[in-house]
Order: sequence, then structure tokens, then C-alpha cells
Amino acid sequence: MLQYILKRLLAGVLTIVVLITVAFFMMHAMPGGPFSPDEQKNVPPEILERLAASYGLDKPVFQQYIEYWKGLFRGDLGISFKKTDTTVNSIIATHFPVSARVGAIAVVISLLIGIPLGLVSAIHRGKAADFATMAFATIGISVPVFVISVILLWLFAQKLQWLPSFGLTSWQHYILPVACLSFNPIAYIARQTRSSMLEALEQDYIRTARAKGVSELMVVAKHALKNALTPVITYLGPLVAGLLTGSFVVERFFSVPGIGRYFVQSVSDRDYTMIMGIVIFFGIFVVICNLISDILLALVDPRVKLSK
Amino acid sequence: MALLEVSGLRTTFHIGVGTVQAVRGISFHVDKGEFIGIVGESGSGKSVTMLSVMGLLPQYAEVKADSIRFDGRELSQMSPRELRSLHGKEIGMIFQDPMTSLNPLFTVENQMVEPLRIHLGMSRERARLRALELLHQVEIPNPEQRLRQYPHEFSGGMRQRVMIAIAIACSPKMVIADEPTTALDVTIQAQILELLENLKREMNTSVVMITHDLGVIASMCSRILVMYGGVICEEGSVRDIFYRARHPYTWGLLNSIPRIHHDSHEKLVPIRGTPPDMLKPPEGCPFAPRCQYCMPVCRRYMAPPTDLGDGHLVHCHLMHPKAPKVERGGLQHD
Repeated sequence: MLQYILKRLLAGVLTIVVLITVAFFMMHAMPGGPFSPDEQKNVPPEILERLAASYGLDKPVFQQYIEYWKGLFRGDLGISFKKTDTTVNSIIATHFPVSARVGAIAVVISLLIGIPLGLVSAIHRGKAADFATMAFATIGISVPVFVISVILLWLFAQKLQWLPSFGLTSWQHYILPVACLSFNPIAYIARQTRSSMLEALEQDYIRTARAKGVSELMVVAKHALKNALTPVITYLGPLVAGLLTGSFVVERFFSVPGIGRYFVQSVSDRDYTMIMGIVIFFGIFVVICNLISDILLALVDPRVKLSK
Repeated sequence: MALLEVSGLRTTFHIGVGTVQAVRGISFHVDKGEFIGIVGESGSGKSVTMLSVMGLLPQYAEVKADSIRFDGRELSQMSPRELRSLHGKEIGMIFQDPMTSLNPLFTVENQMVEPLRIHLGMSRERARLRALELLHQVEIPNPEQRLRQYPHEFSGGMRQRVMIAIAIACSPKMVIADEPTTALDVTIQAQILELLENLKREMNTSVVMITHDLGVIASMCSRILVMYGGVICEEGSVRDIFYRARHPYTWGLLNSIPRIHHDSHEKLVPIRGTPPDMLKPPEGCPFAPRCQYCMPVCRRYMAPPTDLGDGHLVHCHLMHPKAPKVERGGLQHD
């Protein structure tokens, strides 16, 4: 077990090294730059050159790459090119917890709603409850989050004026962003739970359980559910990673001061250090979340061996 | 004395393209302490018959019966809850595929104590001790250690032993074994059959053995029901079926048993044709299209049972006094 985790972590480190390298060179390969004269028309070119030099951007790209690694070994992600007085480390430290908080609530809500929905729909297969749930799930999967956000924002914040539309100062402020974030995962989890539940209920061991006189409730809640949840656990890794690192759209619409918006913004800003910092941070996060969901899966399913 | 008495059982499955008539009005009984075999090929309705009696078929199945009496109680009138109180307690069941019949995510102990806790209200500790005893009874070595293991750590034969242990956990009055050895190696088959026979002898339980292999039950059963196309075509004692069979389908089955002891280079004679489509079962005898002695009447009407004495019943028009006299040998010279 411990050996497996160490191996996976080592593989994760390799992944991150590749990620850093690819991201770094791709970023520099993009035309233009943070201080390119074409984009900053109102700043004299001499000043832009001096600015670029002060960030080391006048050096060859490979040398910058080496310099960047030196910083990384000191745990220093550099200073943001746009917010010149703040380090990337501090931006992540202040804004990630905000995203993580909203995201974590969304993960819990997604599971709490998605799994029961899928269960109800599987048990009432072919009946009204099933059709209603699956219609909702299909909408949930196919409608993009920005459409959901606009609709909810308009309905609850403007038309009905029940909920605040921006910021995160009270618990009411969490409702709309969390609802928008969990919309897609709820739909996905409901569909997944339904199909794996239907599959589980067809299995021979379910018939065995019934032949033993196990009550219908226990057949579903114990014998079928545990089997039905393994695909959901596999999905949990990417889900947690995706939601906790924030959503650009949702954070933008509801003015949530999270990290998700910085990611997209830093790309359009050509904020090199910021781009790299967030890529590395998200990368590590995804690797760890996937590892945790794999370990969870092995804990649930004794047939999964953590030795390879 | 009859433990189980089924009369007029009909089971249909409503599927997309129509209605499959899996069991079409059969009646039989199982006596106390009797070892009875139900034989037939795939799709003959033998498993469905017993699953109907148990009430373990999926929801799209429709079970109708004039009566299903078990130990003096009418099962067809019982609520699901009442039926459940019999399952695993008075009727145990063993299934065909031991590889998939145990839940992969729970330990063997967890699955073994379930019926004990549900039906006998045992505490976790007592149920565990009883489970140990049961594993010992079905001859599984190292029961202490085995209890803590998961099904995937067991071989097929060992899993089937666990299934048997679960089926007999509450000392049931009847055990239904649905092709318990089909998925196993021949040597393991023999062990499992021997185990079943020993248990039957020790506990005096009625056993209903469903199989497509006449050879398997020849040595164990006292009585055999031969099923074809959702109906019983012949039933009787082992001697009746093996030596005095009167139904051409039974002859066909007997002719397709390989005999390793015979010196002669006897050919296996397959039954020509294919089983009937149960979506549109034939009007008359289901075997008529494949029967070489088929008469016009066979295609129109199902034959009534002819009692040849001692419970040897044959459902065949050849039993009619005016029908041509046909012997089993006729088939072999073909």
C-alpha cells in the first residue's frame, strides 16, 4: 500500500515535470508577450524593453526555463507580471481557499443529490420518476454552465430578488455559485448511478441475496449500491479536482474572488509567472485527487489491488 | 407426503417483441426428504419453474398457478414479505454460476451470516460461530481464515461450497439446486454432488436438482421430471426414466448420454432440429416438429398424461391404444 502510494507519487512528479516543460515552452511559443510593443501601444518601446529585461525576458527562452526551475526549487513561483506587487504564491494562497470552499460544497451537494436521484430512477425504471430524472439529467449534461448561470442569476437575483448576485459575504451568497457548479456533476452522477445500479441489480449475487430472504431495502442499499458506486468513486477524482480549483465562468458571473478566474485572465494577460504557477498548482492537485480516488476505490472493492 | 405441490403453473415473460411462454401449465410435487431431478435442455423452462415457485423472477415475469402449496401453505397467495420469510429459511437455493453468485464486495462471513441473522435472529457472534460450523460441514479447509476472505479469493468449487453452506444455513425443508455443477470441472462436479447427497442424507432435506445432464442425477435422484418446451413430457422414478421411458424426447435425451464403459463404438444420437420458439409455442406437443413418430394429432393437441403406474406419467399420443406401437430401439437403428 505505502509502496504503491510512493510509486504513484513518483509518477506524479514526472507528470508534473513534463507538464511544466510543455506549458513553459508553449506559453513562450505564443506570439506576443507581456511587454510586446504591438499590444502595449501607449507605452514607449524603450520602457517596454527595460521592463522585459527586468523580468529576464530578454534572455534566451531555454535560459529562462532554467531560471524558472531554480525559483521552483526555492518554492518560489515568481512575481505576477500584472499585479506587480504580489507574488504568485500569495495569490494562490489567498484565492484558492475561496474556490476550494465553494467547490467542496458543490462536490458534497453533487453527491448528495446525484446519487439518490440515480437510485430512485433505477428503482423506478421506466416509470414517471425515471423519465423525469433522466430528462433533468440530460438537460444537466447538455446545457453549458454559463447558460445555467445566466438563467439562475436572472431568475433568483434579478426577477425574484431572493438571492444576492455577487460576492461571498453570507451563506446566501454561496447558493447560486454552488448550484451552478453542481448542476453538471449532479446530472452526470445521477446518470452514472442509474446505469451502474441497473447493471448491479441484474447480477446473480442480487438473486442470491433475494434467495436468502434479504429485504428489498437491504438488497438495494447494501448489495447493489456498493457495487453501483464504484464508477462514481472513479469519477470523484476528476470531479473534486475540477470543482475545487474553481470555475472561470461561475466565479466571473457571481464575482467570487476565487482562483478559477485568474487562470483564464492570466492567459489573456500574458502573465507568464501566473500562468505557470496556476498550471503547476492545478496539475499537482489533479494528480493527488486521482491518487486519492484510486485508493478509495481499492478500499471499497477488494478485487482492486494497489500493488502494481 | 408432499412438501411442495404445484398445479397448473404458467409463467410468461412480457418482453418488447411479445410474450415468451416459458412454462405452460405444469403440475408436480416434491415429497418430504425426496431428491428429485428436473431435466431438460436450455429453454425448456426447468429453471423458470423453480424460480416461479420461489417468486424470484424479475418484474416483467408473470406467474400464474392454480396452486403452489409448500408445507401446507399457499405460496401463490403470499405477500412478498411472507415469501421472504421462507427464502433462505425453509427453502434454500443454489445457483448455476458460483463465480457470479456471491457479492464480490463483501466478505464470505458477511454473506453467510445474513440469513442466520435475518431468519434466526442470531447475534453477530453466534452467527459467526454457526458460519464456521457450516464451512466445516461443506468441507472447506481453514474456515477461520476463509470467513474473512472475499469471494475472489475462492476457487469455483469452493465458492459453490459457500453457496451450499448459505443455502443450508437455516436447515431448510427444501433445497433447490439450479445446475449447481454446470460451471465446474468434472472432478469438482463429483465432489459437489457427493456433498449434496451427504447433506441430504444428514439433514433429510428435500432437494430439487435442476440439470440438463441426465448422467448427473441418475445416481442421486429418486424421481425425475423431464421437461420440454415449457411442459413436462415424462415423469417417473429413475428406473422408469432410464429403463422404461416411453416419451420419444426422453429417448432422445438418453441416446445422447456418452457412455465411457461401453466397448461398442456406439454413436451418440443427437436430437435433430431445434427447440420450439417460446414466443409462438406450437399448438400441440412441443416436441412434435422434432419427433420421428409424430402423428397428425400431435401437431394439433397436447397429449393428456397416461399413468403407467407408480407415478410414471407420460404425456404422449403414442400411449393411446390406437397409436402405432413404437419402442425406443427404433430410434437407434435409424
